[in-house]
Amino acid sequence: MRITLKLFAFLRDEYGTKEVQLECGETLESLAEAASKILGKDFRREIFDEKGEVRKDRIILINGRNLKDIKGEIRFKDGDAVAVFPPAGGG
Amino acid sequence: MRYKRQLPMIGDRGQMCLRNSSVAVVGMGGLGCVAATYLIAAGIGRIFIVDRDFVNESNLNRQFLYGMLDIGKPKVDVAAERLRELNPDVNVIPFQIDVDENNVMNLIAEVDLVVDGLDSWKSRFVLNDACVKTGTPYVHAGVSGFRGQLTVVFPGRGPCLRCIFKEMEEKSLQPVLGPVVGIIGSLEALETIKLITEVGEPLIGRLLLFDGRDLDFEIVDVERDPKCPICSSI
Repeated sequence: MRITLKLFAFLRDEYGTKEVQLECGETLESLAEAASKILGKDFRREIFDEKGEVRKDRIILINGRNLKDIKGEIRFKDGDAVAVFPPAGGG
Repeated sequence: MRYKRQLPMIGDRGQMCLRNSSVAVVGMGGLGCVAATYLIAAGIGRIFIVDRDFVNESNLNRQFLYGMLDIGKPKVDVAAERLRELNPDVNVIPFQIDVDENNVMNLIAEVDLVVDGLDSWKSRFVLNDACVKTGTPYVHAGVSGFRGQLTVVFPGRGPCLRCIFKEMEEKSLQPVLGPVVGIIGSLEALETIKLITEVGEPLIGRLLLFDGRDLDFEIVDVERDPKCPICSSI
């Protein structure tokens, strides 16, 4: 299925793009793998930490819902939009 | 005469709404200085400015209400004096406190809207939870380096801060450029004025992500979490 992955902030510099179209399966693992094929293997580290958990310092929105809401039940559908950004916490 | 140039946009009714409103700006750092200044200049009736800190030299690259002679003084006292000079018609009430679970409800009971000038996620969530509980709109912003973000939490009409950000880790002393807090703090004041005067479309259910390096403003939709422990029941 086709997923739109949008990157923000320094992720755009790091991976040289604002948006990529991915062909992937239903799972987050599959999305990370498909993105890494296009953006480089380091991209996986933008989603998962060294323990394989979703990173706490990235916000990942799937059609506007925080991934942490729906972690256990992610089943991507064709046309889904995924946004990844580091939150800004200063004032 | 003072408000002549803004009346074409908000009208006498809008100006009266501002005059009759009461707002809390929580955190008088970079964002708070900018947002409070524009709200007071626009003629908000009453404004609570809240911050526990004292002026430090490293604040002066962006917190323009303070100067070298203010170093060591409570931020809220210095800011209140400057803001009263700017518009003596506004009732400026300084609170030198750290907002927490014990005092937040007393503060929110006094205001129609809360503006986020904080640099701590823990305090932001305390404000968010109290705002949701009382149905008080909350204009959230955060900055880091060249970046900023902004959204409006309007209880019952869009996601709350916990829906969007979940549990956040605190990061110590984020780098900040003055113009970035200038832009994002101004947008907080703008959203506040829009909400109070009911002019325009506030940023509810949408998150603005700003990147100053390439002047990129992008808005992403954000949805409510149906299981959110704070806002799902309203």
